[in-house]
Amino acid sequence: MKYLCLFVCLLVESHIFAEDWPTWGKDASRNMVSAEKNLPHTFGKKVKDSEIEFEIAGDLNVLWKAKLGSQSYGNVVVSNGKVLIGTNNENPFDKLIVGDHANLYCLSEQTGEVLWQFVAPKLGSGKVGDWEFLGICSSPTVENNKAYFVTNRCEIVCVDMNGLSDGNQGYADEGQYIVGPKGTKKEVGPKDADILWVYDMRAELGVFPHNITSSSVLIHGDQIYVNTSNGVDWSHTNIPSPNAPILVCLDKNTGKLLGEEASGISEHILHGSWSSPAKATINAKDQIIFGGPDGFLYSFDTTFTKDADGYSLFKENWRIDCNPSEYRKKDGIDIKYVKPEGPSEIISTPVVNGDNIFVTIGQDPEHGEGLGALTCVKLSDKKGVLNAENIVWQYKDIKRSLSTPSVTEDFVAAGDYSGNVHLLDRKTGAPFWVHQTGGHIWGSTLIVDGKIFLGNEDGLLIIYELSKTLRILSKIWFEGAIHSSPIVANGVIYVHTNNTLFALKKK
Amino acid sequence: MNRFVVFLFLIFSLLPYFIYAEDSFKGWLNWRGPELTGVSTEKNIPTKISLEKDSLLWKLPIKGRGTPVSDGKNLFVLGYVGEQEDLSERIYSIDTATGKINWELSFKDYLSDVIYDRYAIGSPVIDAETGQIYVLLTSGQLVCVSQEGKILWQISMAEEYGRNTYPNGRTGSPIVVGHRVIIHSVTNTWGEMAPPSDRIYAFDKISGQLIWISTPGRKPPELKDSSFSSPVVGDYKGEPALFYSTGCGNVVCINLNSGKPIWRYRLLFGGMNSNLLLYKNDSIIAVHGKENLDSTKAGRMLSIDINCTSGEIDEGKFVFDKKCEKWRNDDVCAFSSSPVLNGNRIYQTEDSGNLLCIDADSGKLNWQLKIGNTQIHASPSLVGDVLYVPMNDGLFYIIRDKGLEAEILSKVQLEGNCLGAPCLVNGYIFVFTNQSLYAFGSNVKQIERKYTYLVNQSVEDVEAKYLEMTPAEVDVYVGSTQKFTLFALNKKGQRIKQVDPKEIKFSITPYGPGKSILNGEVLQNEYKAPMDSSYSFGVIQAEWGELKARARIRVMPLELSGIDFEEYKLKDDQDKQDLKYQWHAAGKRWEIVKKDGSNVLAKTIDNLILQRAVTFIGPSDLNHYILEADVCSDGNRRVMSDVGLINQRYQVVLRGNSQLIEVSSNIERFKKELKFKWKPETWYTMKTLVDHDGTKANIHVKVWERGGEEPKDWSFQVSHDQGHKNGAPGIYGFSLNDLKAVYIDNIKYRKSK
Repeated sequence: MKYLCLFVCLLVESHIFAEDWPTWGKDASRNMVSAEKNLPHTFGKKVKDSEIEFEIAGDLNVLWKAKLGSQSYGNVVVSNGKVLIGTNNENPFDKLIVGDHANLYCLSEQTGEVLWQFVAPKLGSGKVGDWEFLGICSSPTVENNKAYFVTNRCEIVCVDMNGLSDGNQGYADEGQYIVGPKGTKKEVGPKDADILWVYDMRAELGVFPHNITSSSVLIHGDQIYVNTSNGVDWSHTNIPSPNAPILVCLDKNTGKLLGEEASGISEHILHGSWSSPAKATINAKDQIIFGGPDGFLYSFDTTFTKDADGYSLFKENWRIDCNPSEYRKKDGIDIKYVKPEGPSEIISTPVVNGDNIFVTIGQDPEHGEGLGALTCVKLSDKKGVLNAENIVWQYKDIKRSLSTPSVTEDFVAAGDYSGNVHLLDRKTGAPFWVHQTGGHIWGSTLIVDGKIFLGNEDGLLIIYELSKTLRILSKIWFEGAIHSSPIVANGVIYVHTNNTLFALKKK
Repeated sequence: MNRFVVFLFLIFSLLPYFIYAEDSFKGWLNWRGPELTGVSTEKNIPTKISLEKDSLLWKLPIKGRGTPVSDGKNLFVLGYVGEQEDLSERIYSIDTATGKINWELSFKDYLSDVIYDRYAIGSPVIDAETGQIYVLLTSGQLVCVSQEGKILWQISMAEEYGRNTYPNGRTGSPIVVGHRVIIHSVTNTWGEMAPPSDRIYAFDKISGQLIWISTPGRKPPELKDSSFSSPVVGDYKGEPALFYSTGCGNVVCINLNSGKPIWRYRLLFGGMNSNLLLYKNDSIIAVHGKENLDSTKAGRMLSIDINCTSGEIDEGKFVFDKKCEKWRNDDVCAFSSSPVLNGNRIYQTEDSGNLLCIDADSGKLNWQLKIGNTQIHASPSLVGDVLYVPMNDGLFYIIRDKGLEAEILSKVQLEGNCLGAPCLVNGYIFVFTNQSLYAFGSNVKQIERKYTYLVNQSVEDVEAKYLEMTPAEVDVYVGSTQKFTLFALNKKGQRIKQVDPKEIKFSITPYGPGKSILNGEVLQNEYKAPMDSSYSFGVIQAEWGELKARARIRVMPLELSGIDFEEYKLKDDQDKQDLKYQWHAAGKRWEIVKKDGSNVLAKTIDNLILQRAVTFIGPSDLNHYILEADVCSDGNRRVMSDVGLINQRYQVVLRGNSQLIEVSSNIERFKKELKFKWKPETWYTMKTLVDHDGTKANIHVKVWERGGEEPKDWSFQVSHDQGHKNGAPGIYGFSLNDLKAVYIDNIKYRKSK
């Protein structure tokens, strides 16, 4: 009986503390905080003469490594024993597919072995619409053995998590898809992706993606919500498709368009659109929360209205500017976008926590460093343009940020592109501490097991104690830049550099 | 104070103004210094600086991203001032000691894709013989200026040589070698030069006439970027050679005398921007920060044996293989910062903000020092063992190389971002940020460079090895003439003598795969274009004994009475034909199709990289002309395309999805819009005129449905202060996402009365 109790306890404990990470931000709230426990913070091998520094070139707490391409911005998700990660084709898994392509690998959660891969050819538009070597940048969303993501070709794709190993369902022309419309059809096999449907946002909606199409799909019942990545052209001023929607809703089963944003957001795009939608609920009603490419935070209803031509249009609930007014204008004159003191868009993902939404503003890293803001917005059931009353607090000592905040009951953690990590008081936005990591930060914080994990462009993973006083637990040096966010699933921490994915687990 | 002290005071206070001219004084005539290595040979450059008066001599509110150059007495810089519409790039001559501006020349950008005020990235170069200053502006204008600030000649590389434009604004510095001024850019022109490639151009530094064009690199898809590296000069098998890094990721070597490509070595996917180093005249040291061909790790520094024989012939050019590498270091990653070479020590700032010292013989790291979060274009300069290191965040370091480690001697925070290199001359440090131009140092005895004003004054070797014909490419108006000049060159590329045309056999020879024969006639060294031809193209060949040279010629109409494309014989409504006119950047972008019963020019929609076309159809010195054409776009509620005309450097475009007429010349600089409802599948006539009243350009536009009555008044008129006074006529098409074609027909231009 004693052993049975122990077994049950262990079972319960392992059940409690082990969970998948099936989408960007773990779930629809996009809050990268995990309840897992007992995770290590030392990996690789210790750097000589240092107590807290480690190099990943060792096997301490390294479960497995998987080689990726040369640039990997797509963040890891883990679901049902499989790991999905976006990269490029510079380390071809299929030796018959060479040259610049965009790849999504499906790996075994246990071993890191590639089970199958999705491959998309480049659009061939050059940097303006599908920047060379960027690969699949979207972090997929997995549900019911299907994964949804957007491709470098400005498509929304649904794939079967088993790949073609269990036969070809849905879309039947994978061999042609891989080589592009002009290529010679390729023979596909069990190690190739099984595409269920594809929705081309350029052809169907006239979207003009800027640099790359990237965001994470939000699932809501049978609906999926997707940022189209509509943007500017070479001039960075002209918006070729000002009427194309920024956000669309598709039927997750068929890939059919159900509705589209019609608030005119595209007319005000500052650069590109890459933020992922989140979901909030207020008064038992769901809202789609979206960080706009104009620097506004939007809320949309999950039902639509029809216009005279039969187009199904989103109903906007509210919007609020996440740029402090002084970033928009000086002496009554608009401050030019891209100037360090000027306005920014929302690239990170808004995080829904309790009655609040937390969001940073930022710009394409190519635009350099500049002013940022982390805003705590009161979730509202009002309509129209919300004013300052709906801002709980706004922290302006953060610089431009691509980082999605992590929010607990007491803390808000976020990085900024200038290399700083900020830990704030959840209730007031007052900083407990700020730490300069020494390298640019593209990724986001992960809070788990009383620690904050974050990587930077110098290839440094820093692990802080989650406390009001700054305390660095360890620094792990990776070989190559970390442009991604650490995640945790089923007791394993995943960190990837541009060319390698590391699964880290206490041994 | 006694008289002697007063005398001494006067002497010392006047010292900066006693300037000694010396032949041997090297100065800092180009952005990488006297030896193209980033090293100054001077000894009196300060090793500690501050923003206090005793260190900061002067500061000017001139923004710049390049490097000032100096002959000791004066500083020459490319900077920019102003905001929005009034922003202009300027070439300045500035007194080094006082910061007084001697003169300035202002240039407005036109038709470029440059964004976010990314101007003045290039640097001037001073010719050591004549003192003339050469600058490649962001718009692609190559300008030659005298020491006194007089423009001696200028070339619009975009309109005359099909230079491409990029949002990054990365424009390199010319170099001067002997009688040539040399630049490279990605261009797509006509004939065999229709495909885009990173080409290198040599112009006569006195006349501005083209000497040669060389295409040592590759076209897309290998060509992915522009490159703003400057060529370095060396020697290959006894003849002068140029080495530079290209937008197609190759290090290339070409013969300076002929421009003929010698070898190339492809290092990476993407463009390569850092300057190369020539080490011991037997190896090239290169660095990049992009995708390697054989590794998933970005970035590499490597050394290449310039005399290597291992490789293969590809498209008639020798391509090195990996055996030509002497060493490689995969831990170095620098996208556009250029290295310094001193003895066998290389200094490099890399993307992550590290300053590295690397052994030039082995590629091994001597030491590294983290001095910033990031580095972009900025590059160090060096005197002795002291490095002057500007960083992207505006921090400017002075750092001593102590052998096994580095020591920071001084550090100041400048306002703005540093993107160029410091100029070290005469005890001064000059450094740009994108906010200000700084001069550090103290007034000491000044030396200035003495110019000979003679070109190739002594030539010992008089054996003729090459025949040089200028201009090597030229546009000739219908009915006008063009003279050619021929020089005999020796092995070193020096001009031995001007060859008497009577000794030369000139002929019009078949050109290209189509064996095109140029219309017109050649009388000795003079070509006369026919009166009865609108467009014609071909080559003239000159033979002098066994030596040959050639010139490419396009005959351009001064006025175009109307092209309706009916001369093309299309088989049916589905047939398409290539455009046969030799317009810049027209190939693969436009085709002849049948629409609404007649032949028209259609924007191609089968290659996304070409989804936009900016095509010049006439000479660049035209002004005050009426340009008109019929235009049409396919489309539906969701998508239309954009179509328009280019008149005197103004782009007049019907934007389909925005439903407006837009007049622009670099959209960020000058853009005016008028709401205008126009429908897909409907033909419109566009008429444009630009006149310049001395202070501003006035752009007039009218658009009406074809077949309807022409509106009496211009429907849209805008003015541009200090706007453009001339420019080539052109056509514009942007079929976004290659979804909907646009069409143009009945193109004509004529001088306005």
